Amino acid sequence: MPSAAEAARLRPEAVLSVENLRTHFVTPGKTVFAIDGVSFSLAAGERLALVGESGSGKSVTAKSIMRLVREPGRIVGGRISLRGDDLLTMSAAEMRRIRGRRISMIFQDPVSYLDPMFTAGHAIIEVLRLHRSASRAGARKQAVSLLRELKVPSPEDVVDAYPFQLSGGMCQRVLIATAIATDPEVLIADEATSGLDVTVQASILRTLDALAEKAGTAMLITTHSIQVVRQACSRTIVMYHGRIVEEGPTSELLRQPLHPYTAGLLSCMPDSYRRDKPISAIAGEPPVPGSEVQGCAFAPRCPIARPTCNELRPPLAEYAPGRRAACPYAGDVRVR
Amino acid sequence: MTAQPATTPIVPTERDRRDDRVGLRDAGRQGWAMIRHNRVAAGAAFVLALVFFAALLAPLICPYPPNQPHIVHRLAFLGTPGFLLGTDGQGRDMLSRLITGARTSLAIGLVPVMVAAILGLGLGCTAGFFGGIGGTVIMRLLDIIFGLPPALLSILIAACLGPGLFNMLIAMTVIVVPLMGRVAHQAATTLSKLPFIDAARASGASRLQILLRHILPNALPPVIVVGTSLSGMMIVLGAGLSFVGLGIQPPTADWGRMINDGRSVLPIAPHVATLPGLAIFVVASAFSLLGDALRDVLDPRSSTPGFRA
Repeated sequence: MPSAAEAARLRPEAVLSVENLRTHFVTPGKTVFAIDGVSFSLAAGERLALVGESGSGKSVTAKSIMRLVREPGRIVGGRISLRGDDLLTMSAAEMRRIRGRRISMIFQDPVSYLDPMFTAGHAIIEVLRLHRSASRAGARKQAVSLLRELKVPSPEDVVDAYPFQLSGGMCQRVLIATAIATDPEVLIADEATSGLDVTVQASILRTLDALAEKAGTAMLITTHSIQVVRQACSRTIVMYHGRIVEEGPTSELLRQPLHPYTAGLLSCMPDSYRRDKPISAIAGEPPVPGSEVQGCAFAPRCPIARPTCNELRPPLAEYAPGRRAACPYAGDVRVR
Repeated sequence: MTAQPATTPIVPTERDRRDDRVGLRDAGRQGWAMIRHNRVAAGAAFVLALVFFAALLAPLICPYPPNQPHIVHRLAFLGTPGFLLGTDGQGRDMLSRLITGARTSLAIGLVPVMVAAILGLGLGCTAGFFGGIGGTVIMRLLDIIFGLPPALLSILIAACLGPGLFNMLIAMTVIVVPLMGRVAHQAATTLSKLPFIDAARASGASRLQILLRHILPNALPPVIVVGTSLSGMMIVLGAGLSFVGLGIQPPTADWGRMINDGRSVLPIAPHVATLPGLAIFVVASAFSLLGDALRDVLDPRSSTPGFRA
C-alpha cells in the first residue's frame, strides 16, 4: 500500500474545495458581510496559509468550513465540498460525523480549548471513543502513543494532567493529538501558534509539517504572522475585508507580491537581514469588518490607488500560473 | 569545607520527584491539602464528621433510649450524675435525645439539598445550554417558586401535605430546587460560551453529549458549594417547621421539636431549649463554613492550595 503522502502526489486533486463562500452576520437592522465570495481549494498533503489582519475573515472562513459559525452568523451562499461531499447541504447529524473525523480543528489559546474539569488524556480519549468506539483502555494507550509521536516529554504523566497544569505549547500538542487521533483528511489550524513562544511556535509548526508529510493531511493554517507562513506553508492566500486579494506559492508571493496590500504587509515585517530597512506601517485603518465597501476595499490605504479603484471592485485575476491577485495594477507593486 | 559540595551528587531525590508530580495525579489530593491548611474548614469538617458518626451509631452510644422517661429526675440540670446533659420536662435524657435528634437534622440538612441539586442541575443546565423558549419557560417557572418567601411556602406545603418527616422533606426540596436551578443555569450559560465547548463541537460531539460530558460536570462545583451552605439553612428551617408542629411529631427526638418542648420550662430549666438550639447553631455554621471552603477547593483551576487560617 502506498503511503498517504505518495498517494497525494499521485493524484493531487483537491481534498477540500470552497466555492464562492459567503458568511454573513445578520442582526436586525444590520448585516455584516464577514466573508463575501471566497473560493479556494486544498490538495492532500498541502499546507495552505490564510493570512490577514484581525477581522479580515480568515477565522470565519475556518469556522464556516466546520459549520461552526455561531448565531447570528450564517452561511448564506457558496459550496464547500470535501472529496465531493457537499458539506453545506448535509444534515446536522451527518456533519457531526465529518467534524473531528474527516476535518479536525485546532485553535488559538489552547488552554481554554480543553475542559478544565478533565485531564488532557480524557480529551483525546473522548474523541477516540466518539469516532472509533475504542475501549477506554485501548483509547488511553493510543492517547499516550499519539502524545509520544508528537514528541511530548513523559506522555504518561501528561495524559493524567489537567489543562491548568500544562503549558500553552503542551496544551496545543494535546489539542493536536485530539485533532489527528482520527487521521482526518483536513486539519484546520485557526491561529494555532499565535500567543505561543517563538520556540514553541517553531516546534508546533515542525510537528504539523511532519504530519502533512507523513499522513498526507491537508492543512489550512490561518495566521496573521508572515513568519508562520514562511516557515510552514507551501501556498498562501491573503485576505482583506472578507475577500481574497492575493493567492500564490508562498516563496513567490513573499518575494514578488502582486497586490499592494500583500506588499504592505511584507513591509510591516522587520527583516533581520536588512537592518537599515525601516519598519513601515500601512497607512490608515482597515474598514470596519463586514461593512459594505464600494470598489476595492483597500483603495483608501493603497499607495498606488487610482480614481477608478473606488468605483469598481477588481476581480481576482490570474497573473501567472497559480498566482492570482485582485488588483488591476498588480505589475506596479513593489515592496518598500 | 570546599570538598563537601563536590562529593554531594546532584540527583533528584525521591521526594523531589514526588513533589514534581503533586497535582499531576488528582485534584482530590489538592483539595485534601487545602482542607488541612484551612483550619476553619478542617474544624467544620471535623464537627460534621463527629455529628454524622454520632447519628449513625446513635443506638449504640446513647446512654438511655431517647424516649425513656425518668420521672424522678425530671428537669435535672447539666452534670447530674447519670445524666451528663440533664433531662427534659418528662425526665428524658437530653444527651440521648440530642444524639438521636442529629439523625433527623442531618436528613433534613442533606436529603432535600441533594434531591434538589440533581433536579436543579438537570433543569438549570438544560435551560442554560439549550436556551430557547423551553429554557425560558423552565426558568420562569422556577422564578415563580423562588419569588415566594421560603419559610412561608414550606409551611404552606407541609401544612397541605400533613406533618411528618417525609412530607417535610418534600416541602423543603420544592423550596431549594429553584435556587439550585438558578445556580446551574447561571453556570451553564457561562460555560456554553467557553472555547472548550467549541472544541467539543469541532470534534463532532452532539449537543446532548456536550451537555452531559462538559456542561453538567462543570456546573457541579458551584451547585455543591451552594448546596453545602444551604444545608445549614435547611436544618434551621426544618427545626422551625418541627417547632411549629408541621415537621417531626412527638415523641420522636428532633432538635426543633426539643426547643419547643423546652419553651414552657425555659425559666426554670433553660438547658432544655438551649442545648438543641446550640446544636442547630453549630451544625448549621459548620455546613456554611465548609461550603465556603469548598468553593475554593472544587475549582480545579486553583492550582495552589490556599493558606488561609
